[in-house]
Amino acid sequence: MSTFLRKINGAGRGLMAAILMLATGCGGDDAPAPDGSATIRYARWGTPQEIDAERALLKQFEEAHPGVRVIVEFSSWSEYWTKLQAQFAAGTAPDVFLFSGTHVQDYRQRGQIENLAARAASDPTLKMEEFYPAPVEIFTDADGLWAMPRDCNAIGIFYNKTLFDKLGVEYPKPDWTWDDFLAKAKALTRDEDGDGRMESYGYLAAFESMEVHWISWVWQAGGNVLNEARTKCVLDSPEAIEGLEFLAGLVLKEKVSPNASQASTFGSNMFLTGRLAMSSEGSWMIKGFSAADHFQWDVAPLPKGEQSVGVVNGLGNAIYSGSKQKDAAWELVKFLGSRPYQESLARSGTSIPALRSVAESPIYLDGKPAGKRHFLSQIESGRVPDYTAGSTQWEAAIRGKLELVWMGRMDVATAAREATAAVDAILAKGSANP
Amino acid sequence: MRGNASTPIAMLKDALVYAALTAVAFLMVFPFLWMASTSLKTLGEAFEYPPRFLPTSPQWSNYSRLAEAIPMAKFLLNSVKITGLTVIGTLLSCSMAGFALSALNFPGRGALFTTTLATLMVPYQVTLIPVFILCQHLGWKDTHYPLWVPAFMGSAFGVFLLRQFFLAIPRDLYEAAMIDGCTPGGIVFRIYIPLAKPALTTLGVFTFMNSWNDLLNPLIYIDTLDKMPLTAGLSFLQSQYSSDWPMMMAGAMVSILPILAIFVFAQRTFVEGISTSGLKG
Amino acid sequence: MKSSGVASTERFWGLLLSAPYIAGLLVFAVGPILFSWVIGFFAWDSLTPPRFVGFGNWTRLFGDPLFWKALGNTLYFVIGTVPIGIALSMLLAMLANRPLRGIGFFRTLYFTPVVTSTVAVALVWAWFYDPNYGVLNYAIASAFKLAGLKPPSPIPWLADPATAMPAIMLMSVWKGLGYNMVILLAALQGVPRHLYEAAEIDGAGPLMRFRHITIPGVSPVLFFVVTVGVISAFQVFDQVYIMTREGRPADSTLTIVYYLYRHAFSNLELGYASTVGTALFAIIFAATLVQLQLRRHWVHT
Repeated sequence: MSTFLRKINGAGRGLMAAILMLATGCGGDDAPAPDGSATIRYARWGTPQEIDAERALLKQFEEAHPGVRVIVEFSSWSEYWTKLQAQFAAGTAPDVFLFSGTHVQDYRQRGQIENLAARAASDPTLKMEEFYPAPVEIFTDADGLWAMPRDCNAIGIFYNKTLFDKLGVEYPKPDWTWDDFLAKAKALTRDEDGDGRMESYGYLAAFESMEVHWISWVWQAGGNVLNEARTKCVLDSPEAIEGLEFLAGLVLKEKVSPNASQASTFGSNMFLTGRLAMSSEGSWMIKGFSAADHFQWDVAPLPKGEQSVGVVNGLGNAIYSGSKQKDAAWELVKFLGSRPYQESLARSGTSIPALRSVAESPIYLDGKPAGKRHFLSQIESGRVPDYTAGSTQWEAAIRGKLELVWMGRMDVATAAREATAAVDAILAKGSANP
Repeated sequence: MRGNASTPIAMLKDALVYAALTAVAFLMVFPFLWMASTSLKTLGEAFEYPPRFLPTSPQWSNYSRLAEAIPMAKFLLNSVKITGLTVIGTLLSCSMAGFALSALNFPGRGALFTTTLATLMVPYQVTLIPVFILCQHLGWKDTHYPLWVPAFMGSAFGVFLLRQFFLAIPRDLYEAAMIDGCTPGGIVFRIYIPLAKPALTTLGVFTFMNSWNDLLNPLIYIDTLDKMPLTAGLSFLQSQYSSDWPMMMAGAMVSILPILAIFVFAQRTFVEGISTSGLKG
Repeated sequence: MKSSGVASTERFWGLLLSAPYIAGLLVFAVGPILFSWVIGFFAWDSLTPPRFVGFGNWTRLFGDPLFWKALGNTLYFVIGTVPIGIALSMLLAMLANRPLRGIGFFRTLYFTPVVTSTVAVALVWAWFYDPNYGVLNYAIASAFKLAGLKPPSPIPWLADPATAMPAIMLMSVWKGLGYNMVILLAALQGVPRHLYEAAEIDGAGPLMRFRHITIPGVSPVLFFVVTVGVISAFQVFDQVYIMTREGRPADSTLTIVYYLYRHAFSNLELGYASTVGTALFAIIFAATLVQLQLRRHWVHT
């Protein structure tokens, strides 16, 4: 073993020391040139079509801002966050990057993103009120504005018109209630040949994603996950439990939903089998579903509970706090929220523009499905899920408990209590390095 | 070919073997056939229930849409370059080190072998970020270098594999060559490598496959879409919004075919080797 | 007895030939691995500098029931896939070694699962495994109906903790068969034919020939296959990542590497994740040591 140790002592240790030193963040050497020109790196994910569209638009930006060059660094959706994290670790974070509400607090509490509040307030070319309030809210907290809104999305009930017609059920009306919903779901769940397997199900009641699947039921029953100050979990309140019981009951009691344990890999694809009458999906699925030509479908707003609340979320563009080109970066994030860019977003059909005037124009509203406009009213009046540092962790903790409910191993009240305890523990650890 | 059996019993035996081969083949290949057929279905047919095996009419448009959606030619070229370099580098460096570890006596040999094994025991997720940091500081940002340069410096898997294969080559060959005045370097290239063709082919195929199918590394190290190799480039089609399975499957098929082609060529060396082995019963 | 001249030639060439490999090991493997061992004593979110926590990560690790569950699941996976997988691969290799016409075609077919990207394969299998709309349950139900029997209730496959891990194991064995088959096939090629002929002349039956010629002949490579098989089985990740996300249901498919990944990249706890990696390394190292010790008894070089 002595030769082994000798090997480590020499090259290995030296190398290790070097790496450690590097890891503590020395890097990044593109200071602004003295002549005012700047090169900024902009990271985002996207499909190849989006990439092409982006390039064309950024040319416009560069022409409007001579001397500024934008290098776009694309990643595929699946690896974007890993790559971003690695880049931060190496000290080579991009200047501007596409960002989501889920990660805002994690990054900002570690001082990695630039506070844009002061710039937004003092910039004469920017009118924040032209955006819908919700996307701005995602990135705003007591201390400032952490990203410029880019787009928004809402959750709706996608329904299979062909199946509704076949079974003679009326389409959902915009102001339908939980009772209407349940009645329709029951009518749409049928075992036609008596073999014990359902030929069609009314709805997919799932617990995968807080935003897509279960938060709306909790909110509409009057409950929430966190309290106002976001310091404590309140999922064990009677209202929240009521909402969750309704949802879980769809699977266990009313049996209008397949048991959703497969939903993770299958996810929205269940709706595409044509055997699911209704499904909660995000507005982003419109593009994906439009290729489906084997049945007709449309979108309805979420059914009303005690309250009528929509679920809204969105993406924004953040600026790295250590960027050496903050002025140029600011111009870029403004551009990404400006009319020409937002119109292109609307045309691509992948998300709803955060700029109200574009979203309400025919550029977005034209085309299938007709129910698109419901998303706009949801965005107007909807709520954003509570994101805190570590929210991915506590969402996973809740998911674990809900899974036990769906498997019939735990009742909702106990699950809610245990989930609350778990979430409180995660919140208590706070934003400091665990 | 000994397959031309003449006696009835031998023919029956062969028939049974073919039957077994076919049954196993079906099990192995069925999911792949499903992928192939899905690549030609419409979106609706892909998720139909009861499941439909064959599409009503093959949607070759899935493939043409694929070619429109991504710069296929560029991706292929990148893949060929990166994978080609990786295979060459791996075979070279691993034969040398594998031979050294199996036949030569030098200080640190035992430690080197232990370290080789030890390296295999650490999951890549652990070293992902440290290696990334290293490569960034080497100035390899947005280049192909992190993907193939390390191959020229060996791989623990390859070294271990070749060492084991070389161990099976009789020592007398080595000694005889030494007596004849051959240097160990010459011995590697003139004796061992030709003898270990199946082993090298195996390693070559595996290296090809791993490099060709590598998803994570290109996505992390490369920023420009045009520099992406094929499999990583295909993953761009899978956005968070996408459910387009037929097109995704088409992409998977396009990815697989080159590797299968390589394998078909490669295993001719196995066929040659048949004359030196012989398995009865 | 070697002369010192020969010995020093060997030394020189040994080091020369392994030099590129040694360099590569140190830079791309040993360095980062040592780094991860050290960072295991820190808390590091990769965004801000690391903070020293001493043995904090280790005490947390041993006290986390989820870690032990992951360890149990991983052991289950290793035991369930490695022996069967290798035995089947060996059979397959022997089957595919026959000098029959068209054998190359069959070999290619067997290798196809290996060659297909894990993402595509895992997605397809997850679809197959769907309890309500998947092909497997449909096939089973149809088979029963054809036989005139009432089909059993749908097998939950990935949806039930009892069947989820076996489902993943089945898919993993299927995917890995061709891989080991190819390696063992290459090894079988290297067993000299005259040994078999001599044995046959001596009256040895097929089983005897298998035990006394085939196995010893391929033993160095078989050792490789077993060792690498165990090492990589302990690191199972891709299937879980794609098929059951987060080790569901009820953490029954949570493996150690997935647990590690989650802490590193979802929870931004790279220090803790590195500790997990070091623990896994120690476990695998111990298992491999055992195999190294045992090899004298059966591996012939």
